[in-house]
Amino acid sequence: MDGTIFIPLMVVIPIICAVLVNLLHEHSGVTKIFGYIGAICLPIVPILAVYGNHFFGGYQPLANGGLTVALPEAANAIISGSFLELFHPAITYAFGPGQQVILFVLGLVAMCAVFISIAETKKTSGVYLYMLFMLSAALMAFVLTDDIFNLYVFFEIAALVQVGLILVSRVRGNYETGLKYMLLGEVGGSFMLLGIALILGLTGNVNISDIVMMIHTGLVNPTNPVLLFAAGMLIYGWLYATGLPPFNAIKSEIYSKGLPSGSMLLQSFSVIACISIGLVIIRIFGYLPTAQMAMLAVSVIAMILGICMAMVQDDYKRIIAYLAVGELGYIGVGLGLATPLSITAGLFQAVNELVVTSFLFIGFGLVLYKTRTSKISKLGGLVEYMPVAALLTVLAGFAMAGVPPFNVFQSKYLLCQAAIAAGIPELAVIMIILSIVTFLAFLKMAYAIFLRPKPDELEVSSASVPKTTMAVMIVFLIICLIIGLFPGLVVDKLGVLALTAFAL
Amino acid sequence: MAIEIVQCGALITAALLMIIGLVALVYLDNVLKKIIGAAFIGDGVNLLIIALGYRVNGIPYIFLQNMDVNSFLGQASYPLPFALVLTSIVIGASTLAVMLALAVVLYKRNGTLSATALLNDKKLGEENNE
Amino acid sequence: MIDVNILVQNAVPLALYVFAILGAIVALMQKDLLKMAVLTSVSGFAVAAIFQVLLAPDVALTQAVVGAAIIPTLVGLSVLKTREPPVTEDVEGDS
Repeated sequence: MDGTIFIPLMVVIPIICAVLVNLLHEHSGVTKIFGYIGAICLPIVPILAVYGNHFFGGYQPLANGGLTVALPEAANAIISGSFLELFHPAITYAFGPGQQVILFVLGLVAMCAVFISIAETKKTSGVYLYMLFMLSAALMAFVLTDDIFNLYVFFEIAALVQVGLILVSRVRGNYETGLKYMLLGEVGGSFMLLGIALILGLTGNVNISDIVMMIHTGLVNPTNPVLLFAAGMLIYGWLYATGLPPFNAIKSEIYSKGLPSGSMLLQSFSVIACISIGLVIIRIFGYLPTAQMAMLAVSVIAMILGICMAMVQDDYKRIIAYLAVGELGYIGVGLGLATPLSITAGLFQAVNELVVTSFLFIGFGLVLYKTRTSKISKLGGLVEYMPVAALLTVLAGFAMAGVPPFNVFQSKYLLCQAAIAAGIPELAVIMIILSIVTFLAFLKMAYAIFLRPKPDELEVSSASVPKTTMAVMIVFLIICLIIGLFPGLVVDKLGVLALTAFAL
Repeated sequence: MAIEIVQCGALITAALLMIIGLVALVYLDNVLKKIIGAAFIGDGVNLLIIALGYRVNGIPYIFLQNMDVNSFLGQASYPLPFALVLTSIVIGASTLAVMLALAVVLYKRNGTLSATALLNDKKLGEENNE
Repeated sequence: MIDVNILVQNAVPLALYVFAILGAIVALMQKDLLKMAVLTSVSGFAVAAIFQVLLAPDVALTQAVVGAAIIPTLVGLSVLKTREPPVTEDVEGDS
């Protein structure tokens, strides 16, 4: 038995846990145990797994001797010696060094989300845990899958579960937001399926590696207008899943309606969808400058819009939500430049963002937990009540703005290098200016919430901060520092994934 | 020649269903009608994928005992799109069910099914900033 | 004889296409929502029959069950639910 058996387990274990906690949701104790076991498995399995491909059902490409049964003569005559021998007949999961890093960090974030949700609720809710696990499974599959239809299926599952995560929070207006998000999601999902259908019609294939091979070896005419239309449809799906403009308003509404632990996974979905669907587009349509320019333009608009919208808000949940959408623009810039260095930088930024945005959501979740209000104008002086948590939250804000020695500094620095190397130094200037603006926005917010004198009418609850939450915040801070001080650990592995985007 | 009308017609029908769904989603006010419009978009895409696997003068892709392999390979339709559509139909139905449930809950809370009253950005924004 | 055969082969799919499109339009134009729920099944069933014509019998079976039976039932149920008087209690939420 080799280590590649762990590759499907990364998706299967969370799904099994999800089903079990949902079945047993009446027994709080059992649910809790299964929740802990499943959560701990999430980051551990990617470490144990060995690099390689997993073919579901064992159907390897025919060149590797995939079939044990002898083929009919007529079929054999067509297949042997042609491209058909190299095609992947099964759903293929590819696992390499880059995927390992992303999945490890993602597993860590998901584990922390499960722990926090168990610690912060008195009676463990099996249904809520079900949705957390299901979303983690969908995200794991997003990174692993090499099959474009499998991507779509998990995209729809994730869309359903996201709405579920919004509905369980009792924030006002969550049902309206959920319905709006689902209606948009039905259109986004259908359009993405339309793009997949057109690619399927031209190539007869849904495996991404096979599609890339067919297009780049000239089996399919790359300038076919239908292919251009398919690129447009896939980019539409990418925009919807990522929440770049014109979907930034609904996406930030979604973030601000979730519980802190739910918001962590909701933003993980945006980040992971951004890199996985983005990589699919880069791999298939890498020869189309139009597609890359579209991605680049939308990302730049997203960065600027995100920060502008965040500056005028008074609700700190909305501010973080808009900033999170804006930060996604940096990943989009990395992917849109489409050089190996820039894609590495984009993936690095994605990994950092998974950690830092979750860190911020928890930190400001604690403010909400203590004060029951999310209006900055009503807040103040909280540093007396939660000194350590306040310090950690401010550090998280600094990390997001790109202050050294934290991790985002390294990835933004790499992005600027990539932009200059690609011959667009203006982008680097824009990114630096926007980072400074983000930093100022955080200083203003941190001063208003933590440092200025407490307003008289503000009531701070005496409930102590849950220990699990503090532990999770410290874990996130340590990850930020480790990646920030030793970026080579992550960047080298992500570089391998970035290079596969250009290989046939 | 005459038979190819079948495939072209199916593609045109798929396109029209998608357009009808989109128009309903954008212009109709009733939330239930919007939801059904969204379901029609999904139907249209499914129909398009099925039309891709069609083969003129073909037979269904079910291999029976007494068939000749060579003529089966020459005539059978392409089954991969059909396998995909089976999944897609079920996903569409479950999405529709969740959306309908949401619409019912919203009606019970607000007493209306009008989208302008329910999903208005302005109203939501004011509620948030009260 | 051959003429009739070709006519039938062409006419049946075309009739189904017209049914699918008109069914969708008519369903969406109804004022009475319950009628809309019932008419949704016309389009669903026509699409199922088109799948059969396009050589996909198993997909046709699924679509016939889902599109012509389950979806109209779900829509009809939610229409009936939305005819009851709404619950007017003000639901309290966090901020």
